[in-house]
Amino acid sequence: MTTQLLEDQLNHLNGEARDTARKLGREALPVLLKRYPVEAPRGRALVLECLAEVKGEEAVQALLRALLDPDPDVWRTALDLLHTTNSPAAIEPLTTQVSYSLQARVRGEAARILGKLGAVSSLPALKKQAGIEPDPNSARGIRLAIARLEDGPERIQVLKRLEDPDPKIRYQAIGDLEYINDPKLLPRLIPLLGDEEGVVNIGQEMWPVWHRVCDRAVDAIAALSGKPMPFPVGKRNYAKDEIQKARQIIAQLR
Amino acid sequence: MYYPMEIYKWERVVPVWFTRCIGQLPAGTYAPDPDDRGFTVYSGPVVGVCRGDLARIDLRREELDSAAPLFVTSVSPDKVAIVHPSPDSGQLTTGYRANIDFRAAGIDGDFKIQVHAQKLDGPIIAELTVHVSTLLTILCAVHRTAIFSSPSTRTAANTTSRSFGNIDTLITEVNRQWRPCGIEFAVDTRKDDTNLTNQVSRNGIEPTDGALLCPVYGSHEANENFTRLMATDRVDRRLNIHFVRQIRTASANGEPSYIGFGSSAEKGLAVSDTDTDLETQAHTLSHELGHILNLSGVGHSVREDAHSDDDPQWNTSVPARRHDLWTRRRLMYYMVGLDAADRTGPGGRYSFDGTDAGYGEGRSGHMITIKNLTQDATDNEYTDARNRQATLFTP
Repeated sequence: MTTQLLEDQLNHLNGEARDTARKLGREALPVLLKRYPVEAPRGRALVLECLAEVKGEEAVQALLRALLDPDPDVWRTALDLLHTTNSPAAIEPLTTQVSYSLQARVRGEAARILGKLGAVSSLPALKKQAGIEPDPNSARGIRLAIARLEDGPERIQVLKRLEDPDPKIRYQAIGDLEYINDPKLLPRLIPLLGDEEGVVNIGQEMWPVWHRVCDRAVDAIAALSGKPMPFPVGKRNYAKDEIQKARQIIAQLR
Repeated sequence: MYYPMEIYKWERVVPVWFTRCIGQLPAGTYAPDPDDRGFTVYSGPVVGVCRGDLARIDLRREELDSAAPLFVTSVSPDKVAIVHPSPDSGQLTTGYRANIDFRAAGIDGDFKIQVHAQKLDGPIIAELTVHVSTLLTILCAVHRTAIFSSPSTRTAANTTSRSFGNIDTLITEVNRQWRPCGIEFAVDTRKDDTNLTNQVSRNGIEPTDGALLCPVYGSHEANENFTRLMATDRVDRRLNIHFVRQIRTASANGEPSYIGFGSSAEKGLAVSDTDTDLETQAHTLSHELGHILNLSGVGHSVREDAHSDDDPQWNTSVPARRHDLWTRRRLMYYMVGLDAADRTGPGGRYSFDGTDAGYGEGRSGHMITIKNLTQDATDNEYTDARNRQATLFTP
């Protein structure tokens, strides 16, 4: 594994460069940081993915700078990667992005990342932006971040959506509850464990399998409880006895 | 030449109509299909191109003498420049169909092309909106996948016969079909050692080497073997497209077999070997990619593997199917073909006449809708697909 291999793969826009960068670790950094400014958009996006494999503060800073890239595929790549490659040093730059980015999506996603980072210091900026954000999707992301960072009206809104008459809203609200990441809220999912409305096709067009509200609730319980589930989890319909076991897990946490 | 026309009270006259060019194209020229559903939203048809694209659209003289002098201009020649006919004269050739070539500059937006009667600054009788987009990329990992069970090993007989060159040709055609949406699929990872070795039996039918074994159509069983395929050698942050030798059904004779299918939940597809023509193969793959990008998604937000014909089999909330020509012209029409033999059930599921929707006899089209009409919950596909592209790999 050499930096020459990495260079060759980057020259050919070969996605396996990510694997090479991961194996090289910090040894890959000089190559990646040198190449980023001179690459075309696809090359820049690939370099960012490689940096995310290497991780470390240099990678986080490069991803933050890339949020200003003129190419949408590049800044969106950076935004996606910052969800998993971040550090406390990203809090201030991301807070600035929530307030000042010209891209609505950057404002909303930067907020969601701040929520994951537990950036309580960003709450004033988030609340200010939530009040003036014109883009509905971004406003939703910002309100979700606030809901994660403090137990206030935004969190109550998420909990209210769990009772919405529209199953699509209930399904989405479970995802929001999962994002808030507070195991104390798990009992709120108990009524939804009996909700068999199908919402998302997790199969294929000839063999549709509808993921129900109750299935999504079980997935959230698996993610939030921190307990290993006694059955396979993810992208499936759960049997009644499996749903009952999920119910018992919540009871044990009380 | 004059057309006699009896008119009671009033009648809308449509002298000319913009349409997709169906002739041989010069290299490097795109032939997008205009979204010409109704006259609202864009006040006429709208066509999608990418920044810098050279594109050709045809103008049909519908209720007009084929020798009537017509001239074409661009309202914003610095944004969309007319290339043919020469912008100096602007005069279109005579005949039922006349080509208009134009090139988009490097700016996103909506720009008008106008057709004038009699002279270059004569009265405007038709307008086309050119919707120019930045090209967005979706990265793909393609797998030349072998399917076998122990004690077999990977051989040519149980592996797709497609080469990576053949796959590149197919993806190029897919990208041509998706171009009006401003989305391209770029293969940046090629896996030549992917082996699916743990298939399960179905309905007492054992898996055979080289074939992905799927449930019987309409059985509502989960497709366990596809799930296993998607978990095999998976590449993160990429659409995983597995090319396999055959996709067969767990029936006594293995029929029907499939060219391909995909899953938005898995962000992946399976495509089989086939000797059908390139356009049909690419159409199938483009359609399946459309499911992943939420084309035809009812209400535009939730992925439902929906179709332009609103088939209630897939959409429980849809009360009826659509039968109009536009529906059949769209990429997300339910069937690849329009001939009775391509349709399932006794006599076919659709009993309509006319099987040429502008793509040749028996072919459904590639149109991706741009307009968002209040009467159609499944349109607005351009925006829906680009929104989905933006979030495809967002955690």
